Amino acid sequence: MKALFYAAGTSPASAFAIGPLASALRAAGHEILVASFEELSAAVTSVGLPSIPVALGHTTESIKAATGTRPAIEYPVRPELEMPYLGHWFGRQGSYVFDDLVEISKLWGADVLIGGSQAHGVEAAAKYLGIPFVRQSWDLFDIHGYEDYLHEELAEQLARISATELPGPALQIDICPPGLNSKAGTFMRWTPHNKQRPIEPWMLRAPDIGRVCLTLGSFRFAFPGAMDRVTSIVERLLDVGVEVVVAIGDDQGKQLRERFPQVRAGWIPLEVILPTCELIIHPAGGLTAVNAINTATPQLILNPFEAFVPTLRRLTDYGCARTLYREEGTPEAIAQVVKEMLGDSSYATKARELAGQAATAPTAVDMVALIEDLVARKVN
Amino acid sequence: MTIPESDLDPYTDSSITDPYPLYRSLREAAPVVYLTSHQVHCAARYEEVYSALHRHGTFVSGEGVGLTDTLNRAQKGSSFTSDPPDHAYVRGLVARHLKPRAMADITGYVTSWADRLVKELVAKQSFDAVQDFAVAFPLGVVPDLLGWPEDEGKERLLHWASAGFNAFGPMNDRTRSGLPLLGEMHEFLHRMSQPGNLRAGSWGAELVADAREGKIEDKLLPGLLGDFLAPSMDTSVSALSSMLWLLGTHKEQWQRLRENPSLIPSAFNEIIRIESPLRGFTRYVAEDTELGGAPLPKGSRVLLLFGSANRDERFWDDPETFTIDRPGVAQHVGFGHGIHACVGQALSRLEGQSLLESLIRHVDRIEVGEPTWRLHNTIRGIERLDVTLHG
Repeated sequence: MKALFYAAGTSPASAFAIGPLASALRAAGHEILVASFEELSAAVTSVGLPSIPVALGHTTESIKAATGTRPAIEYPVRPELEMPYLGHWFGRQGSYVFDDLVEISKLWGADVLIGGSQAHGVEAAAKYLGIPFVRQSWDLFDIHGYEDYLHEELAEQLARISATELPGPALQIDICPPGLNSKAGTFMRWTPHNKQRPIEPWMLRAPDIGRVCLTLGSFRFAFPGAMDRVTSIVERLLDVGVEVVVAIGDDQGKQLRERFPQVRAGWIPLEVILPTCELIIHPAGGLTAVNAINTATPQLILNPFEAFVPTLRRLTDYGCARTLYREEGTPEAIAQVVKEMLGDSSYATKARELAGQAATAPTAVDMVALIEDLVARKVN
Repeated sequence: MTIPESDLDPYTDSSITDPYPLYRSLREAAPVVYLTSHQVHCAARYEEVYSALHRHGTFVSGEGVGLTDTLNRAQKGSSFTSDPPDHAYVRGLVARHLKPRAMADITGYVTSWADRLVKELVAKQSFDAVQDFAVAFPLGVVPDLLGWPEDEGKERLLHWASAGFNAFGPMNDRTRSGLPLLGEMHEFLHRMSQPGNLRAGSWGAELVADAREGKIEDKLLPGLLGDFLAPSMDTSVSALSSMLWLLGTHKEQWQRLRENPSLIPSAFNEIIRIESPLRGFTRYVAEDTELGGAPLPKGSRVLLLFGSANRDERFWDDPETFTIDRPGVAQHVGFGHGIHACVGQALSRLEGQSLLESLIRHVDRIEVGEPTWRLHNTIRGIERLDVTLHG
């Protein structure tokens, strides 16, 4: 069987998210390829997966410019702009990769197409090819409401499959811990496939004083002022009296270490560092949240998007996380909530409970037979 | 700005049994007041207390956090009387078992302890909030976690802790009467610092083993064991007895809590805010500075009144009212704040919140009598309170 994955977006997390399933298929003797915009190739190969760049000559940023009847895509600075942003951006990516996905599938002989949560265009390509499409969520979020904008961007591709809306998947695999949302379906435990680095003993040793991890995930690319924000948060965290670890790019890590010699900063795989952390602060990174859940780590989530609120409320209602929404997340407020969470073990207790719940889901290994079955039955 | 002098004395019997009018007067006087009775500066407002706690490089703890230099010298070297960079190391030795993940390991033990105690007291119906409820819990849990030897009585522990906290205040009769007890505690902690005296596998035994292996300086060991024990006693006893008193005298708040147990964390914080167990600590001024616009010379000392800051009308709306869902209540300074914030507060919350959960499970109505208040320099707490739990 040949499985062609499509990693959408610009965050390395979209490559890390499909890692377990791609690796499991390969370990079971199947062939895999991962298509993405070229900018994501390094992330794909960093987790040992074969990368095939598509939409050559374009980037996920360059396609945001207005062309013809298509509007420019602006970062959603206000909640009402979130759905247009999601629909236009992921739809436009789909419109740029559709032809390449079809062509590679024919050339290579793909039997199944697989994409993440907002990987769009790929489902239309599978329909066009008459092969199954599998969607494996790439995070906790189950977001709807952006379909009109999506269909607007993918109008040409929809016409090619004689449809007015994008088809659903033949199989939906969810990496959210079973029971955390109200959905019934096929759950898969996401197992670590983050980009690696040499592990140092300090990463495995929880300091007596306590350790807090801060990451901005791929949001560090999105904001010009991201480093200033990290710096101001770190300054406040140091006043809480715990060790601060910043999981960030190596270059930015070096800048931080020069300014704060007592801070550990750089690229650090979350599955390695989180078991030694009392909590993680992150900007609603969907896969970061999954890393935190799996390692029983309480979370302080700096939520930039209204669309994430319902899912994050499930985590806060569960008792293993707190959130600060948009402008609430000042460095002062972050430090105050960190202090509160360090002084209340209930978050850690609930995080441990949720990790146990997450561990009940089967791993990617168990998904292989389901996909083999779809291919055998040619479900499209 | 000149600093006004005041002859108000926070350590008289009357200002201990009812400290709040005095606190209000101090807050109204100025951001910083000079107490002629003890020759010390005093900050009673929230903003100045919070600021001093966070400016730990200027308002240092290494010269002691009590009122008198003599006793401050005797209390050096512990986690809360050290400054960076040593502070992180010493605090870490105590903090290692008190971090949230570590607390999650003992949650089941503490919650079942709480449930058993509450069920026993419901069966007993009438009891003393202090001796039968508030004392039983910290005395039953903390020494056990530390590895207290089974054949060693625990009753002295409360007296030692009380003497230790009195000594943060002035050298008055309360402090003086406790000095022999401090000697007794010192001797005990030295004995416990010898290998084999604390239960194998306990937190304390681990510290002793670390010292044997050279990971901890021997001289630090008695102080570290004391850091686990003393601060967890009187403060917890105060908070837990105030809990029953406040919920017994605010029946509508108790009903709201029963109807909405998700308010438990907020309710516990409100208990700590409105009846802060620790009246305050001092800080030594390490360099010429200002606090709230008041110039403070290097070498002076400032008393930070946590119990007053937590009722500062400049910071809190309607601060004299007990409201279990008070917005922003977690900002109280009842556990201190900044790098010296109470290292055991996660354990304290686990105790308090577990007991509140058990009370909600087993009790319909809390009936309380009139409390008598302790005469203590540093701890604000109830001496005796008759309680009846109606299950």
